[in-house]
Amino acid sequence: MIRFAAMQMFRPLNRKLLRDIIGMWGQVIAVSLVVACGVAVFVMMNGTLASLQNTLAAYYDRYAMADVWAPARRAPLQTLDTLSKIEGVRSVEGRISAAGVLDMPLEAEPVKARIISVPDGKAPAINRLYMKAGQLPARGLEQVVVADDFAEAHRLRIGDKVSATLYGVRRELTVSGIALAPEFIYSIAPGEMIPNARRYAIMWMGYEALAHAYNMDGAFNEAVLLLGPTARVPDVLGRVDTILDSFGGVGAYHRDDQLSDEFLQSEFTTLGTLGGMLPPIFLGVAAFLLNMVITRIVEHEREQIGLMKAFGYTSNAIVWHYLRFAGVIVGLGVLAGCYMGYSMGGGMASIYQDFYKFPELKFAPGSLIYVKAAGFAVLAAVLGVLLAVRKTISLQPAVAMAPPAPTDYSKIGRIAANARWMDQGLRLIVRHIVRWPGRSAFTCLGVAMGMAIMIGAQSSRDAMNRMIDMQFELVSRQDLTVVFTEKQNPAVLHELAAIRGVLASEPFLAASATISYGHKSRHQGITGVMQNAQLNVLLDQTDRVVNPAPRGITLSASLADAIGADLGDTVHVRFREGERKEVSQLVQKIVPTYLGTPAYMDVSAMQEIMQEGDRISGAYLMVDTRWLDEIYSLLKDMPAVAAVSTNQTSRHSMKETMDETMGTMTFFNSVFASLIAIGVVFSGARISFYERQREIASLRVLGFTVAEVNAVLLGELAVLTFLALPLGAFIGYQLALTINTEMSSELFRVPTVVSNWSFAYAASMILIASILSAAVIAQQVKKLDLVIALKTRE
Amino acid sequence: MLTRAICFDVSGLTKVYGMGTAEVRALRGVDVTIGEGELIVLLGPSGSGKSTLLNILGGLDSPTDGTVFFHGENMTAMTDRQLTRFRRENIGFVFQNYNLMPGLTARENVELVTEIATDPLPADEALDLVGLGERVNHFPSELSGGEQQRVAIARAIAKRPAVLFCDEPTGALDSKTSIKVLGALNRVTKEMGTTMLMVTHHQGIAPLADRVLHFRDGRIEKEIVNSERAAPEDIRL
Repeated sequence: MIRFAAMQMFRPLNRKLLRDIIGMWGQVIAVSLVVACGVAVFVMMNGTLASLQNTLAAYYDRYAMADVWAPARRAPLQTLDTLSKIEGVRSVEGRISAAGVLDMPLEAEPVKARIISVPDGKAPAINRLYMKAGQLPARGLEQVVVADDFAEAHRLRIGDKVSATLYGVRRELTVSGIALAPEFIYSIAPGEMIPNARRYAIMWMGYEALAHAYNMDGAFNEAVLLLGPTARVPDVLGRVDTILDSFGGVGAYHRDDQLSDEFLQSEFTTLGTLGGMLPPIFLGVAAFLLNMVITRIVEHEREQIGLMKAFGYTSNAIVWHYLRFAGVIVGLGVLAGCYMGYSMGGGMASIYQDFYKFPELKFAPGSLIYVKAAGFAVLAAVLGVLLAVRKTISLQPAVAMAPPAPTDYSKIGRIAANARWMDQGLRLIVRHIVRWPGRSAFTCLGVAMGMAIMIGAQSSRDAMNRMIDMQFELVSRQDLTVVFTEKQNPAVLHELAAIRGVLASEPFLAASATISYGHKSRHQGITGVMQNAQLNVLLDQTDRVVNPAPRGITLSASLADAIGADLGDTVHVRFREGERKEVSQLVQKIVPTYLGTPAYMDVSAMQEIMQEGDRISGAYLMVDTRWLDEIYSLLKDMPAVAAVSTNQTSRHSMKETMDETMGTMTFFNSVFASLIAIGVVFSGARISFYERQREIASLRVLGFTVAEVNAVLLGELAVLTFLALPLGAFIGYQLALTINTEMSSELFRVPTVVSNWSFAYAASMILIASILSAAVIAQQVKKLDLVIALKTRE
Repeated sequence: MLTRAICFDVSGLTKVYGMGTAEVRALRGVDVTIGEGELIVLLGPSGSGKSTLLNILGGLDSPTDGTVFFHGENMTAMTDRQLTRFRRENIGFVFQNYNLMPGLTARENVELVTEIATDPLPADEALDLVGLGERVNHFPSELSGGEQQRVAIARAIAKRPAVLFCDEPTGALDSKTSIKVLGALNRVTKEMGTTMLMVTHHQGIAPLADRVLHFRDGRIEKEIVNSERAAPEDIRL
């Protein structure tokens, strides 16, 4: 066996293969790295996606994630029986879901909390908790299980006390357990854009204690349902709505519309898009580079190929030889790429673990991902090789053994012959580019792709910055948003305005409603806002402040799209609270928005329709920050206040999260994009150097300095690189547009923004990569043995 | 002959390639003086050292031992940058395989040199001198071997070099074309007073020279001085 292997090793073609690889190690590494990048991105993205999907499916299944959520104002527990009899419903559970405010020692601001009841004395059957520590609350006691991320952010342990204002009453809650839940893998506070465990708590409390606190004894305000495999979701939702209608039902929704799941699904779409878009770019570039490298070898070895054919080697045997050469490069790339992909996938999993709350998230892509990645890489290699050898392999042995005719430039005409301002070096550059248009175009495209990937990566950050800036500088200009437990008399506004440090206040009214147009409808909150508002405003397409229409409804563009309504159409609005009024409203304005599918009305008009008097749901405040602590402390103690959000904190936490998650992705992609640029430029320069050694030597002999020769040789790459910059910018923008469109959902629309800084950064990175590659080649020009180069046969 | 000013003064020139068992001694202590305006033919079998001498005198290679003075300046002490300048200002090269830039026309190939020279001939004039005034706009791929070599000669002489080195200039040409090329070389060097060293296998070229140096095993075996230079059309190849 060993002897056989040794014999194989020392077969002439195998020895040649080994020498070729050692002799061209620089290019072998360059191309392998590009292959590795493609494989790594594929494994990382698709592996992360598979890991997330598998983990999610298992988590949902094991912890009985609900299929339907049905919020209501207050429904008697007996209603659950009726709900359970709906066709397709497997089981149903009623619970109380309430908002509260916590006073945490580590946080000056009031912390929002969502408190959900769990059955007394037993675990919930639906949306079960993954208990990380401690146990469920004891019956009748004011004990809570807190979400793991909140416990961690506030260093809470079992037995610790949490001070809470529930329904206007201050209570001391004892932490009995720490848990995670499948319905809160991703949780954000209402009105926030990003999770913040310090400022938002999910808690579970025993039914009896919570019902007592919220005066909900014998009732529930949210039903959760598990459906059977044959259930027809729209029918079930319709039936649930009908049953809960008289109990203040605000519209049942399916898991697809559940916030946490919707965010996850949108993340999966993004990963799937990137995982499907980036690897083909890398592998396409790798195929092109392989094609360039193999073409050069084949041209260089055409005599040997002729000789081998003359000796009786078949064309297939020769193709196989070059395929094996490519195979070694791809093999190295695949191995390195799988390793890189696995390592980076692990990193991604831990980032996701921080962002999404799974009991455990491991990067387990499954072997199929690796096989697929290797398969695609091999496919790219085969394509690159076959295109390279096809011409030479079809030559007759005698023709192949004869030296090739001198390169014929007459085909391209006398380009630049009359441009007297050009020196001969520049003329050589221009003609060389035009003489090999395919190669020039691909080199240009390859570099442009490197730049495009970098821009694509940067643009996600730009888009988030734009969203944050728009939200916090243009739309939400207030310092604080106060949400009341129940709608309040506008006198509360005067109370708030009277607090020392409050500079201005504006009321808002929020109500849940169903907005329909034709057959399409959406459960959607409507916000009533003031005319000439100063603190929280609506913007038009050009970021100018607009007022809500005094009559009729103002829709966000996303909501208008979702229900298919346009300006001047009449939509049907059914309020799902208060007097549950139904009205037809003319769509008076459509405004762009990046978050959700909001709808707005003039606050007075809305109060008139709802016939609940001039009550308001909350207020926007502008404050003097010197009095902030005092203001917080007063707000925490106001029974009417359910929640307070601070713009500065929200903005800060968004920036922080974004830098953590996007920073890593942007870094990976920038490294990969640089490698592509280096791979393309370096391979291009090196091949040009090999092919034109005679020309270079001739120029040196004629008295051209190393710098002058480099100007001719590398000038071509410089021209192609400079041409690649606008092309890269264009493709990069298109890539950003595609990625952002794919990433956009009803939850949020990612604007396609590429800042000048991102363009400049990408261009600089490409130039640096090109200069580094050029520097290596310039060294080789300096060391070139003129005598040997001049004697080399073309 | 000794009335001419000295162009190159070479003494004890040795060149060794490789080391140990792979050592090849290409030159073994060559001493020679070359006068200005001389046409010298270097004859000898392959590996006898003639091309190596040419490369060292042309500043393309450096000796292992010995000295070369060009117009009194020690070339062996020159840096790479100085050698480049030396070639740029003083030397023209013509090679067996032309070494033209395939992407430039005949005129542009010549202009390649005239652009960097201090007092060059106009490119068209240089091409006229080699009889290619009609083909200035042709690319190398559109020219015959002899025409390509004449472009190479025009390119070499356009900078008015002090010395012209020709390494087998007719090696790839038939005899009729060779005589044309040699005629062009003879004419331009005579008109411009250029010193020329020509390496060749062809004994028949020897009568063109002022002096013929016969090389064998890295040494000058024999030196023949012609009483007068024959015209190219009078020689037989």
